Amino acid sequence: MIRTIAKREFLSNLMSYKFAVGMALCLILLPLGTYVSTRNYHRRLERYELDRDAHQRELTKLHVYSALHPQVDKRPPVLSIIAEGLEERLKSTVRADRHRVPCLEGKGGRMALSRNRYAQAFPSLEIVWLLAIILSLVAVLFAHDTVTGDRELGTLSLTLSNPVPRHQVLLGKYLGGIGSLFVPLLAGFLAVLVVMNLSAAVSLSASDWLAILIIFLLSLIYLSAFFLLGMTVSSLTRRSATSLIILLAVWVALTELLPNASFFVAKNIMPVASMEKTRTEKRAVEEQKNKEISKIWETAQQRAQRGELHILLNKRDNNEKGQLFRFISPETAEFLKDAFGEFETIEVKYADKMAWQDQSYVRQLERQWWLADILSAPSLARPFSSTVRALAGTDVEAFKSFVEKARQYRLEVLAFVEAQVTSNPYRFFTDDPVEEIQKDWPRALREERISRAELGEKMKTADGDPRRLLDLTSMPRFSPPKEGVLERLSRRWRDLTILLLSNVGLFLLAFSLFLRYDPR
Amino acid sequence: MISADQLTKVYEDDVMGLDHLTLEVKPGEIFCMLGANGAGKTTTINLFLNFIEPISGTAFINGIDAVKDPLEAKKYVAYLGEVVQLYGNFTAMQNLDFFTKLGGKKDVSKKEYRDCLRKVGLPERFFDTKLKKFSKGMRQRVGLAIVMMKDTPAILLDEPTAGLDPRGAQDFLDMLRVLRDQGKAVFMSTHDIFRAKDIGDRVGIMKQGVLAMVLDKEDLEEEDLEKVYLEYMRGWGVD
Repeated sequence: MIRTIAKREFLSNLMSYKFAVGMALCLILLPLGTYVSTRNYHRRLERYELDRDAHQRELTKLHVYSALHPQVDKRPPVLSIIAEGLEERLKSTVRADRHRVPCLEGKGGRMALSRNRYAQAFPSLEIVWLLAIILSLVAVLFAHDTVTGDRELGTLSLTLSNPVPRHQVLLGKYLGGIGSLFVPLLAGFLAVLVVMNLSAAVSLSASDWLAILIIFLLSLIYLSAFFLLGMTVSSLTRRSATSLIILLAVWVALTELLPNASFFVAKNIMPVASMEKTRTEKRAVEEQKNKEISKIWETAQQRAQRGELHILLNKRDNNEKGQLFRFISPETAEFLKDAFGEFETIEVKYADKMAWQDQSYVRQLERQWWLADILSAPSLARPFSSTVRALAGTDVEAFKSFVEKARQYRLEVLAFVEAQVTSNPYRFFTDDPVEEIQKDWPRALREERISRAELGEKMKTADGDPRRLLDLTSMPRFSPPKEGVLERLSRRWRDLTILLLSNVGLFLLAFSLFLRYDPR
Repeated sequence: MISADQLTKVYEDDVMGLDHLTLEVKPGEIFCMLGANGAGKTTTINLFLNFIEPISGTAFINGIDAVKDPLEAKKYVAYLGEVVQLYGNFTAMQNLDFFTKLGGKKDVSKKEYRDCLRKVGLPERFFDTKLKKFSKGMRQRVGLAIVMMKDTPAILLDEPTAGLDPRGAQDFLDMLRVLRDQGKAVFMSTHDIFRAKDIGDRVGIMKQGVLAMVLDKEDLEEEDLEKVYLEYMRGWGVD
């Protein structure tokens, strides 16, 4: 009997205007959105490749370790086409050097994180957003008259005058409805995949296909929840028009109002310290650091004035990122060795201090996000889109994993540099070989054992000498975090549970209402 | 076949829907229930179909308690309401097939469906036409075909001729006579005094939930039903 009812419901929907509207929405908006998203992804990928190559090239031009500031880049995941998430909001390049501990950063600076994540998390034509909006709207359109429509036609009483239990009627209607919604959903997904695969930049791995399959199933679960919501409201009302008006109001509340209102409430319940306050605190720490460093340079100046230090060349190495000294006296080398050793300690100490401040700021934001997440969970649209973004690897957790990995990488780089300067302690600040330092060229110049012209020649030769470049072949390479699809899915177990439980809860509610429904 | 014993229904707003109704419709009999709007005619049908529950009394279809075992009772009764538009996107054949299957019949051939539609007088060219193009009278013919396909000993009809033109209504009643002659017990609620007199073997007059009077064939031949009905209504000082 369920099959008979489901088949009728399915065919009836297939021949309705609702189906035509659903198909049109899915087949126009989703491919269009995919086209735009694919272009955005292509642009992100190009930028990533350019940045990555530039960062690698920089490393081949270094002379001293003080200029070593490796940067690591997060490759945009291909599924960011479906769920762009925070790809355009958070920085996907972080520095992993002694000056700075990697931290989550907004593209407009660390403080940009505090902007309304929900308002921003729904950029125009993001596929997951379109899915969340279109699917729920189509489901509501399909479901609003499942019960009231039959009552108005007089077919509900005719149906129930037969020996058919009500739960079978409801289940048949549900299965038929979901079956007919499956068609535009599948058509929409196929259209998305076709448009995606038309781009040469898109290459899907086995795990991407698995993620797409899970996203499809999730969409079905999400769609089912809204369909059941429609059935529930239809079982509460007597007329289809009333049901539709109520459902449209609920739909707007769930998909738009609740996520934004939740963020607003969370912002007021758990306010984050002002940007200015955090900035001022960080500035104070920075000033303290500069003071300590200046003190060492003052000593250097005093000793230079006293004629104890002799430096013939001091220039910036690799775009102002490090100080390169050449043709220094052995005493100067000893002084700089100690000074740079101290700089290292100071930089690391203050980097940790600033990281603590950054992290405490991010922690406050995370608490706010957590509350907003909890408050907006009943929206269904939020749990759905958050889970899809997690599967696509574009959610905040994916960025946190990247930053965490970058932090580990920074420690590896620090350890590598330490090991390198243990064997050659002068390499932090000079590319002079030890035997050159021993020759004490400043003294030789003073004693006129070498002319300025000869020294000038030597300097020119030094500039072009590839042997003076840092050998970083044994430096650790950054490996991005590797998370399996199921691992990513399990991160959103709460959202998944909400989606599944809402289905069960709404079916039971619709059923209990339909049991009492007067079919006349 | 269709019987009620002290069947009573009071709605949530304390409105008396049906007050201790006791009646029996025998096989091969058409019982017409007359009454104004809200008199309790439809309430009676709804109680037989278990769409609503009585506060006391019993309703039986083919000897089965329709309150305690509604699904079993529904196997023996077919129902047709006033507003049965059926599924407009489906053809007459598809509508008939769907409701016949709901009635519990399987493996019914297309020929049987066609024969049934022919019997209710639906022109052959409309068999595979979508119902949204049908007039009310044609839809009602399909509705009657659904009733006939279910082939139950009891039939409940809730104002089935309302809105039909005189010819359509007459055709409908003719078909009802055929069903009666087949031995089916028919309970029909109606506003139409003349048709009730024309088709009914017995006519009941209901007011404010009470079955106030039952007239049999002989009474109907002797009395002017319209006069009785109106006087009775007036006598109660309402309507």
